[in-house]
Amino acid sequence: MTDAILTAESLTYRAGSSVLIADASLELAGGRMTIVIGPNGAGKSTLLKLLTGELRASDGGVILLGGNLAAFQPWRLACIRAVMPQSGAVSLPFTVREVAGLGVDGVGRSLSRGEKSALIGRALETADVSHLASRLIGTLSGGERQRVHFARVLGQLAAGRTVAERQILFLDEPTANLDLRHQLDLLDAAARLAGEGVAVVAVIHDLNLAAAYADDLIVLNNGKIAARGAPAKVMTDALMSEVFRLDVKVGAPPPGNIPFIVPSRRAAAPQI
Amino acid sequence: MTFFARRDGRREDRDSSREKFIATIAILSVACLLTGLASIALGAAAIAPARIVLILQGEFAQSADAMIVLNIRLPRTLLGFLIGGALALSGALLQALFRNPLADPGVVGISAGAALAAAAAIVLGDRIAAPLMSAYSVWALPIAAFLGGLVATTLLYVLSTRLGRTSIATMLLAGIGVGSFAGSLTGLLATISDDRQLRDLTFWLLGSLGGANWSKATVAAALITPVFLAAPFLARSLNALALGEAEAFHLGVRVERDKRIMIALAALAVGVGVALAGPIGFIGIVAPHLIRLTVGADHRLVLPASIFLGGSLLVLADILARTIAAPAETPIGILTGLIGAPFFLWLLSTRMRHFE
Amino acid sequence: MSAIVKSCPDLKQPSTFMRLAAIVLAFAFLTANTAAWAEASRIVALGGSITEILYALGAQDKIVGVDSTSLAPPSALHDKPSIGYVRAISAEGVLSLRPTLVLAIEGAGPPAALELIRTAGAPLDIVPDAPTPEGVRRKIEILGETVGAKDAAAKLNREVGAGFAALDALRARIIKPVRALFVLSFANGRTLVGGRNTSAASMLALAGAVNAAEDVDGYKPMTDEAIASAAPDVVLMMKNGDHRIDAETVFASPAFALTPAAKTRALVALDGLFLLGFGPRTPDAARALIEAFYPSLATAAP
Repeated sequence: MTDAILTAESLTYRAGSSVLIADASLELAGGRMTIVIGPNGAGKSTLLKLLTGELRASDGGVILLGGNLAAFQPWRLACIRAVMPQSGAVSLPFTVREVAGLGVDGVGRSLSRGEKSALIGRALETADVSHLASRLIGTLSGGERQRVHFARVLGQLAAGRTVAERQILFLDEPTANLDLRHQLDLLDAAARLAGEGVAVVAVIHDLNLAAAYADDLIVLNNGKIAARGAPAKVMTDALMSEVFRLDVKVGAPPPGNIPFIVPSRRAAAPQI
Repeated sequence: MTFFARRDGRREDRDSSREKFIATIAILSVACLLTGLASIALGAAAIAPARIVLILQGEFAQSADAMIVLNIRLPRTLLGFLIGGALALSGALLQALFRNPLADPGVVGISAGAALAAAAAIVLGDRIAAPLMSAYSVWALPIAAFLGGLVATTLLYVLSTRLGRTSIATMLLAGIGVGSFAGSLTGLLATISDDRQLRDLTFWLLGSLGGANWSKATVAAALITPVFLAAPFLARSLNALALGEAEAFHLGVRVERDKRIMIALAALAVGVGVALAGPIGFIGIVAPHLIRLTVGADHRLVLPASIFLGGSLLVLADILARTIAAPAETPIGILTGLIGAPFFLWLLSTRMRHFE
Repeated sequence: MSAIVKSCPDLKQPSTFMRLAAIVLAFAFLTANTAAWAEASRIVALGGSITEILYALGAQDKIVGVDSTSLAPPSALHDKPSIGYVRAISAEGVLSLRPTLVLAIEGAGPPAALELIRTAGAPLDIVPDAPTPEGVRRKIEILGETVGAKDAAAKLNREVGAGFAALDALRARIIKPVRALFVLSFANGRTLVGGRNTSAASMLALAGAVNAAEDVDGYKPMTDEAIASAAPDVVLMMKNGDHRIDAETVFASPAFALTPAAKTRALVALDGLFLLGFGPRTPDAARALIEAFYPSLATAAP
């Protein structure tokens, strides 16, 4: 695939005697949203860490824009890829605006103060945390904090775009603490970024959300890629049973009269 | 479009960084100026302010008053600013580095390591290298203490780092271990020292600016000023580290290199402070926290502001130390502890939940 | 310029010039010396025994400040400002008293503060402090010379010398010396004792006792076992004012419970400066110790 921003070749990662990721190969292309699913302990976070450069693979390598990922300067890397972490603890009493600004500060050194400020403001708005801008990060709820970190990576990508044209965004369980509306808001924003050419990779536990937003699904099981492709092709009764040990019928309503709500990707995401 | 964005930005910026920075530094400079003037004007000896002004202009060159002002109060004030600033700065560095708002040179064992090396220089120095010690003693103690602090911190770092990542919890626990080991060795040195060395050691462990003179102030200035100048370059890295080391790396920080620089700077600042004034507690916690409480946590402001505030706090404590029981002197460690410890406890009870 | 050239020929008559110079120099020297005597009018005394001796010499009016160990006579710390502990003095504190002379006992400090006092132009004399009878006499002699009270010093030295002589006679009658242990501090289960080369050891020798901590050098902590095997017959401690540790507490501790001293409850506590100051009262202190150590001598004493 010529359009790949990032290519991983037979990644293997061992910790002690256990193999956490075994022989995983994949390409991430600009403009596509790739969602990684899998049961607990399948190696989703480890895979993400290998792809972001946080961990070095025991075997195999990661190629980013034609270069070896391990050889990139951290600053250069930060212009190309942003990472939204799972836990959002901040050890010092920063305000929301300052946390969001960290992404812009590090990458956008050549920007004027006004330009930086505008980027931060836009990111805060997209993540729906403008009204919290002067609050201390430690006083926020888990979901609010998660949205602040989303604003931070949005700012980092926007600042990085002045240097790097092709970018990649990693989201590690970005919707874990969010209410349904904010889950959809966040994934809509991520999908818009994909629409602008960014390669988006997200780990998501909610299979319905994953199915609704993924251009590509990667199913991890025991550190191996069990399946990969469009959701309609990958999500089968057999896979559910094999990977998740679930006896379900994909696409069938639950028996009896139980109400059920399946969120779906909004046709026209509200523009900001 | 660019023009619009910039104008828009300027409007948005009005409440924030640049103006806050200038206002804070201006206020703290005035505070430093006032404490500095007070420190030169006040003391056990009553010297009229008008006479001090004349002395500073070079009058009464041979009088005892001139000696007191020029050779005792001036170097002491300068040393107070330098060491207070160094302690506050190292506190701010360590709190960000260890992601723990209660981190302090004392907590992570740097002070203990520095104290051990300085004690070794006092006790073993004249046995092993007597000529060297007497010729370079003003430099020997700070450099020994710096090396001791550096060794302690590097040891911690090695103990708590796996696969290039440092675990903060392990580091704090290892700090307790390294600290008590260094403390025991210092105790061992005390038992093999003779009476004169023991007296030197005991006086020095009390903590005081009492021995200030121009040569000490010069040594302090030569070793600490580079730390003051270098530290602000780390501000962005320190900000990013508040999110965690992995996140700082994702934001473009060269985490391992910057951590090493921070450790070296903190060890140098603490080592020089410990060597020249003994272990003085709480400035490293109080100053950075007061700054964060009032102007926020951005290190681009916290680092320089902590230096200014730490300097004036220590000079202020020293003015009290040499006037409240004049002509006797109260150990400054007692005063910083009396003010600092309740502050620390108050901080613990009210602010901690916001830092979580 | 011309004036210098003109004055040059004067140098060709060395005899006149030299003689004049010698006279001027001698005069300056003399006045400087007498000035030193005359100017010992504002003295800061750093060291309990210095203060005590100055008072004994009747020079108390010249003292403008003392250190916190100057406990004798009690009026000293009451009447004179205290500049703090003798080993942690403040240079400006001393200088603020405008001393014309600073008398510091050997071991006063910190050295940096003494250096500053010297730099500021205040004459500073270090008074040697040997813990021996000879040391006491020397101290009195030096201080007498310094404050211009030679006669008073000679008189005091005669008294002190007689005291030491009487002490020697008394000590000669000791048949079996006791083993005594000096305990400097006894807190948190840590016992600091006075080993050899300490003023406490000298005092025990004057009192005709064997130092039970002879194996230790200086003031050092001693383990419980070592104390038990040192087997002191008597324990010597300091008391400051009303504060002293009672015999029950000491002998209840494991370290002392097994010692011979515990059986007879032999604990002697004396005022610190009296006991270890090595000032004019030292013969009295040694005598008090002998009387406490050897009750039979006390009753038989003349």
